Amino acid sequence: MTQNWKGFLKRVDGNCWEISESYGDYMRVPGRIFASEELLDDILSDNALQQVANVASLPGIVRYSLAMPDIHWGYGFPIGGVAVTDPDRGGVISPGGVGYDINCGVRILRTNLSLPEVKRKLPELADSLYKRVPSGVGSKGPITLDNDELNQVLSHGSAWAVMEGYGWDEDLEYTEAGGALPGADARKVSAKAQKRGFNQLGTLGSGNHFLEIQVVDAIYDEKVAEAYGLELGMVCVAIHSGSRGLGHQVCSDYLSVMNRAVKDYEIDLPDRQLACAPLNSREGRDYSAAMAGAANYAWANRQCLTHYVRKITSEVFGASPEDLGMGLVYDVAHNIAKWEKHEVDGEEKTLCVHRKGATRSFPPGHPDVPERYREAGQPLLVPGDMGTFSYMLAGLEGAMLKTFGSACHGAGRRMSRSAAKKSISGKELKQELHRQGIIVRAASNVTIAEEAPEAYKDVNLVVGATEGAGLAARVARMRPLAVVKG
Amino acid sequence: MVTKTADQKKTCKNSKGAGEGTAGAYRIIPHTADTGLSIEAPSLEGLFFQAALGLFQLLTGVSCRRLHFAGSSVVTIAAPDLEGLFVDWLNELIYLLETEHQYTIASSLSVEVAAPHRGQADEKANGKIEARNDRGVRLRAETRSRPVSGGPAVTSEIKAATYHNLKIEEDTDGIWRATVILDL
Repeated sequence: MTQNWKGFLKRVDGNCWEISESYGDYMRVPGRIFASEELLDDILSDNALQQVANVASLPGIVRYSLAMPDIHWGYGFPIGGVAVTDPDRGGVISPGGVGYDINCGVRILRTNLSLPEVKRKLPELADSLYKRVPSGVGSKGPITLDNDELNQVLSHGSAWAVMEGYGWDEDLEYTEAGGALPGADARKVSAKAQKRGFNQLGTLGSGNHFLEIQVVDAIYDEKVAEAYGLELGMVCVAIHSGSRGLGHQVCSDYLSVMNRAVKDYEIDLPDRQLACAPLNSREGRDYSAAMAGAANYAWANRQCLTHYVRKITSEVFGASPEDLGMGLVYDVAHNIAKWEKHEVDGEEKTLCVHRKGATRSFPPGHPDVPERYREAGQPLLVPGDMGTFSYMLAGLEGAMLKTFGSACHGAGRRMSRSAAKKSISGKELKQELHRQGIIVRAASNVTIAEEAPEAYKDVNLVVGATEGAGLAARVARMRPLAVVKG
Repeated sequence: MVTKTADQKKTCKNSKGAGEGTAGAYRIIPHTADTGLSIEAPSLEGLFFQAALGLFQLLTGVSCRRLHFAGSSVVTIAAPDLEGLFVDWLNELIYLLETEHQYTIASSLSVEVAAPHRGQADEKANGKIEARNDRGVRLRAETRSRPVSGGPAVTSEIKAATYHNLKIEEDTDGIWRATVILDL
């Protein structure tokens, strides 16, 4: 379904477009889309802009319904959507603004290995990661939690994992929010969600989750790259995963709660998936607390996966993870709602920032950026699709001014999985990637076809538009060497 | 209470069109990031029954028609409306997959549409009865299952069924239809 946006969509500047409030009488604010003209054609084709307009109907939304350059159609919110609500103006919280995979996110580990050192052992490393890092799809993971332990995970996130031996103390400093949101309450996470969480910790999941061994093949800002500990030719490992079934269940549970709440609070919405409740309501507080728990579970999950990656890499190369220099560069969340301080009309306010398929992008000097990176700005890892580049970016002040400190999160899909499966042969793609020197290990060739590069927007364009809009700046580019999928 | 019931004593093998309340068909439909099912059935129960079969195919890539499901369990769900009930039904099957490691389908289903309060009329338009009232809708399903360990493997992990553009409707020919998108 496409809409005729003529007359309602105007260009603000090179990489910014605005949907007029007059487009829909349900819109409380305009929509703003950060994208180049080239990306806009794709964006218009899947009707994501309608969702940007729909999000503008949320009570208490501040300034704009925002869309990042990798925007595509989602549930309620588009993927790549950002919306900020003010509790003092009846602002709401919406599970659709976070997504089913609460705190799906990505992290990258550095190493002191170079490509020539790794090349000979790359197949063995890829095979070991594939066989020994559990996907957890249709099966249990390696860690079984009891009630108390799950409560600890929900409350403390990465810190629990580190305390249990799944990481280094310093990992917490290089994780967004220190690897745990405050205010989590395990009592607000349903028994069903908890049951799903008991034995999925330390599992990758499938779909667009992955492990990727990469090499830094371009540096765009030497000073910032040095601050981040990245060097040309360095081998890195990226981990992309989320809160697994526990997070999915929390979202489903609270969509049901919010479907009732919108009637109680007389909130009129153009899309049921935007179901929400006021931040200051019982339902809003309960979801915030449950969502924080699920987010913390995801951070603990990525921390456990980090431990496995370090352990397996250490065994393959016969050196300890410490000797291999496998420190965490940074971990960012893509699907989350956070309480953040932002300036609105000259006043600093604490607001609820929904980022769904979007990454926080805090600038140099921001107190939430780790001290070692503070002069450089917050790192953002933007993974490309399978077989193409990923980028490390640094947050800019432009993001604070334009997008409440937000930027893109990845390449964004442009083709359905079924269309990808029909038009692309997983087997041939695997062979083509192999010809390019990229090893792929996946559960099936169908999985590979679904995640083919043609199914995604061009990450180079997405990053270009992000930089062009002043939201984040390129620091380094990473080329994939091996991709492991669940 | 208005109650519609249907019994199906056969397994998925012979379920296509056999037995009142299970007949129908599903079709997998594309969606940008995820997947979907377009379902039609001559009964409301058939819609729910076929949705479970469709979910199995989305999860495994194969039809369950030649596979044996065994055992007997009961699932009961209440929701404010049919769309909520439909989403909750599919999400319950996903939950059972993850926690019991079993694929689950229905052998019989009943959907109860609570009668409206006194003074509250059902909306009737073009022959459709809107099941929207504050008494809600309820589903009771007798289910059969198959362990994941017995195959086929899960090839697509599904996060949840969504409400996206979901509408459960009976047309003037008495055919029930639903299109549901599922998040991968």
